[in-house]
Amino acid sequence: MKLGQAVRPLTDRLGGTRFARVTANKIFPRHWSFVLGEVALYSFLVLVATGIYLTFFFVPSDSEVVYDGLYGPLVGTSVSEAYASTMRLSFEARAGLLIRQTHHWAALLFIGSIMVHMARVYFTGAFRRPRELNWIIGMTLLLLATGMGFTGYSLPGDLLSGTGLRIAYSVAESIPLAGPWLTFLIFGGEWPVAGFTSRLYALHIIVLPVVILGLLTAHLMILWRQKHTHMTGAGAREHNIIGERLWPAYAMKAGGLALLVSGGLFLLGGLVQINPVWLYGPYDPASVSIASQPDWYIGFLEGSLRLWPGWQFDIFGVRIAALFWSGVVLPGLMFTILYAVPYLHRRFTGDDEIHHLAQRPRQAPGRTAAGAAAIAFYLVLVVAGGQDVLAAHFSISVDRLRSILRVLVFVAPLVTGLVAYRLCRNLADGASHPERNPVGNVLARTEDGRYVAVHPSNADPTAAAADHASADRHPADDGGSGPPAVDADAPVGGP
Amino acid sequence: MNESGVGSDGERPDRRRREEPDQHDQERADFEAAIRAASLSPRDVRRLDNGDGSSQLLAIGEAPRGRPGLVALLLVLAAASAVGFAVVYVLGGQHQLQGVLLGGSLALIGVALVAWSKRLLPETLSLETRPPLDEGNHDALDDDLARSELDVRGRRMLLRLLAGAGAAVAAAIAFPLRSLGPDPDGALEHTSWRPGRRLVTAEGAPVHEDDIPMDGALTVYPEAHTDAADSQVMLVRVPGELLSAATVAGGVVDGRVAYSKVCSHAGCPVGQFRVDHRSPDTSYQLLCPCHQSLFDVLEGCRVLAGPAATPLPQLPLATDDDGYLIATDDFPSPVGPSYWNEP
Repeated sequence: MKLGQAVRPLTDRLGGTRFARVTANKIFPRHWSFVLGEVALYSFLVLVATGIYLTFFFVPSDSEVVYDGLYGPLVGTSVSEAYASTMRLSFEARAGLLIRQTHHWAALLFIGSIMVHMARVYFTGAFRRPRELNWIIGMTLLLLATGMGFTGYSLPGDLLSGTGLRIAYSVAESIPLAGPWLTFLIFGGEWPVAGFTSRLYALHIIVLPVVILGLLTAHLMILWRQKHTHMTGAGAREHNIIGERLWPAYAMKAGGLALLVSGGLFLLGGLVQINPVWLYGPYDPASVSIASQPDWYIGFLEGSLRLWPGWQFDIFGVRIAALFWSGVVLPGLMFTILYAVPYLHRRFTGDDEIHHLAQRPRQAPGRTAAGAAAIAFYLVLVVAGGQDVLAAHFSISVDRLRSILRVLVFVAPLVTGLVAYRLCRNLADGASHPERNPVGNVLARTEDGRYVAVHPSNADPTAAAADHASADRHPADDGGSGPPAVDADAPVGGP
Repeated sequence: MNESGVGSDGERPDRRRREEPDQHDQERADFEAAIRAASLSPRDVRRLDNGDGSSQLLAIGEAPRGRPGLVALLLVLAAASAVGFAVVYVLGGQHQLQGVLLGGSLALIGVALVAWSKRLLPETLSLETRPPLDEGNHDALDDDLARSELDVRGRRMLLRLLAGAGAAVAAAIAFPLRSLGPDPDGALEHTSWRPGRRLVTAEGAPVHEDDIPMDGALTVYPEAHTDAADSQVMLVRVPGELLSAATVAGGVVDGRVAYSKVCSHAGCPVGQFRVDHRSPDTSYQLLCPCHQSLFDVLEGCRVLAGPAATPLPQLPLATDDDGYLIATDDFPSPVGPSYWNEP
């Protein structure tokens, strides 16, 4: 029985065949960069599936217990119940460690793919009207995903996560006027607060996932309604969309990608150790490991905290701590600018038209330069977040490396921006434009079976081959009035 | 180019979308260009009815010459890998092997699906004209909404009261949030140190002045308060003559000097004690492992480098009659990171 007939028992009661037809015919652009967002989506599905499994084992409690599990070196140590349950899940539940490590890897990929997806949207101008709303939802999803990551790795009550929370506590404290009260409301008292893990847990498994799910749904519905942008190319216009319809090949490829992403994450979870909390040990407010590093997506905050100089001053009796600038103002400013990208773009270009045709980065040199500079700035902060590890690795003093990075955080964006701008201008103006001036010759086959080399900038190979065939006609071939047979694989030249 | 299919139901003028008569010509011209650019040699180009009144062009490439053997092999391997995972699990489990087998089975099905679509399905290309996003029924919408609104619009007073009542309820339900945490009420200004309280180790053993060797360091707490995180102290011993006058005045016992272990930058424990005897200047420093703030032990833990803005507060020390180290008071200033109304 065919699928259309098989769903009759459902459609009798619910309808939906029209929706199914529209869905099956939805056109997806063929450019590879459009799968980046899909990778984020599939990572999220893996996160939900593995996360639900983990909740069946994890105990979100800060009560002290004496560890007596299978991991010898810690037996007899006083640990929190959260830590003990994480250890039990890792060492005593068969496949528990696999699920836990896969969950952590999926979180890293989730946030990473969101960022790369965001870069794609930025550099192709896909945030322009009418897609500003989806840019803002996407930015919010990035913030929430970062929150998910932070609340997640803070749960096990190990030394590394406790240190991260202590720093977050201090950042909250530094906010002028509201700081201490806000901190006590969020954390429930003075550090270290027994019972905070259950708050983190509620945020991590209910509040944040529900909001993410809602916004993700909105993100996809808006995408469905507005359709994808598509890359410039032959036949592509602002008012059409060219690509591959969903059914069946694209659906199959997308399903395959989902399985590849999850398969890859399980391979990582099995083979590459991540967050070995048994090596860190339980949290102790008086201890911290050297070379402590947060998960990579927190690295820029860590770098900001490390690079910002110790400036502290009072304004009208209100003390502004250095941590306020590096931990609140700078990241706040970064995200505000990112949120405002559609607005800023409209402001600087005066372009408020509806756009469906994605731009190549070179088509907007200023925008591309700004984006490249922002990435350079971000990367310097991430590097600064690991300055102690790098200094040890390259055998230079941390103080010297910090001085270098403090200069680099200004110079690197400037240089990167200028280089990106020049590259864009050269690509757009010069002869190296791959669309306008394809490189190499096109081999065309004439009607009588001979091959001729045609430089693609000279002419359309179809016409060239026809010219060639008529100018140099074989005596036996006299019926050549139809169009010449041209190998369909020949790329199309001309503008 | 074979255009079979064009002109069936898709050509019918559509009321909802009001497609322009020459729209289909434009679509066909664009589509031919796109097909050429995609190196597709279509055996079939047709117009598909989307089912919502719009239509799209679909080109189907040559029948693929791939054989199903590879896909079949991948699927068999995926199944075998999944069975292997179950077997390993039942036999007692092995972490790496389970990861490889489970991840492998998922990834193999993934590769099989991609190979299936790429090798066994014809390549296709589609083109459609985007419908306008705004259908433009604003006036009709307003008319519809206004139909039964006559009474509502007249009740300005009631509308204002409704807004006011809503705001009052919103403000009222914010109050329970206050229960989330206590009032700081000076908690950040004081620690558990009191005049005369002994210095004890994390295990609770009192620290005698001879317990700490020259160039040694020890984490200590107030007696009976070893769980007070804000009261943790780095007790170090340096040659007394190297200490600055102000540091000595802050309360030291013959080179034994104590500082808050809570970093004044972001609250990490300042646990790294660095001693450098190389001439000309012997240096004694405390380093925070989190953000690498560096403090000079000899000069009241002033900031030498890094992001910290203020010195680590010094705990005034003395000895009791038995030679055990005691604090003579709480820290002179709040410990830990700065906050806005810090005294």
